[in-house]
Amino acid sequence: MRLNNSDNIPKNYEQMQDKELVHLFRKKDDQLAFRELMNRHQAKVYSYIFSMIQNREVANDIFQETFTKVITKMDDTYNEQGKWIAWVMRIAHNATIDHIRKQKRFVDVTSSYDEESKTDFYERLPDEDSIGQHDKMELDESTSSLLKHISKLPEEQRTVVMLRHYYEMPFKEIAELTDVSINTALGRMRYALINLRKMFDEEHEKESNNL
Amino acid sequence: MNKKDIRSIAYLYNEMDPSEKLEFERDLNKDNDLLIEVESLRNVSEKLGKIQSVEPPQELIEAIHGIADKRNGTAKHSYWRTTLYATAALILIGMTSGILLLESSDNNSPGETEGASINTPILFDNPTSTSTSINRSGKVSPWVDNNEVIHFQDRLHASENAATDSIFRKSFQKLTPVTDPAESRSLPRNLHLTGNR
Repeated sequence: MRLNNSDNIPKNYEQMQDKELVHLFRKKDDQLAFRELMNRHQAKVYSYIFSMIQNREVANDIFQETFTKVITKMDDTYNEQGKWIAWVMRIAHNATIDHIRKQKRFVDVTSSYDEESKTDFYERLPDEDSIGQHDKMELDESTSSLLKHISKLPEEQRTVVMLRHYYEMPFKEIAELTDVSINTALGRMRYALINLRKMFDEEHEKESNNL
Repeated sequence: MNKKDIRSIAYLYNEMDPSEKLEFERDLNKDNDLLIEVESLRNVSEKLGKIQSVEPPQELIEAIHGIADKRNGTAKHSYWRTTLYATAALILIGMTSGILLLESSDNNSPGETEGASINTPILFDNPTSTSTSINRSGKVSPWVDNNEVIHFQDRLHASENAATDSIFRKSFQKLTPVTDPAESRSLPRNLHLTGNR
């Protein structure tokens, strides 16, 4: 999806391949080339981060961290032989997974009793329905419902689903990005679909009972 | 997970080559359970296809463009820094090679071995040996190899000639020089002594 500011980018940039734009930005500091690259890929990169984190503010931070790294490390670590966007996605994926793992590590539920409010960790958790209420308002109903289900999948399965469905990434690239074999990546997708099918069925059953 | 389970996903997501796909479709026609499995997974996958992408906020994009604009100066600075490091590395390599060359030419310099003979002050250890018997404090530590050949190495000062000669004379009374024609041809300044008579 392209933003409105793409109107400021000359037409010939839109016809260039990613690698030509990357070359212009690296060698000639061509800002328009970088803007065109961002226009092409920002929505998919952001969607991937957002779907994994499900929090706008954190997703914004990770997105900015990703592109700051992209800008500062492009001269040193990006090899123009490989796909630029695959390299960007690797940075985004690593930053996202780092954040998820840090969150897991630092939430010590047993020692988080709050004397003042006399509540423990679980009591202070917001209701499931209120999570991302603000974010949900910006998304259509089916997307937010799907994202809610996807967020319940184990991290490895969620990663494969999002990389495939948001990014249409081939399984070979997903396998490389997540450092597993292609069969493992396919297997994770299968488990993810089976788990989601179960969730959809349960939801459908609940809806039927309510009627 | 076995390969059979993965095949349905590979089929759904077009990850099969044409021959595998043909074979799988043949299996689908024969196996109803497999057909049900593939169709139910396809149904879930189609639902996932409805996920819309989420746009990042415009302010965030502007902030990133700002970082990219600043890169201009940083990239040039980085270029000069890289050039500086490369030049420093080249100078360092050049100096190190020069010192090594000088040292090796010192060791092989004919001036230093001038007048060297069995009775002269300079003795060499077998240069092919990795072991060294030179002690920097001036003490010589001889060693004996499997063939009972004694090896020692030192650089003697001219003032110690008389003492050295006396050591040699005593050695020749008890030990005999090694007579290996091949070795003596390639290493003319080696002095090997042995206790084997």
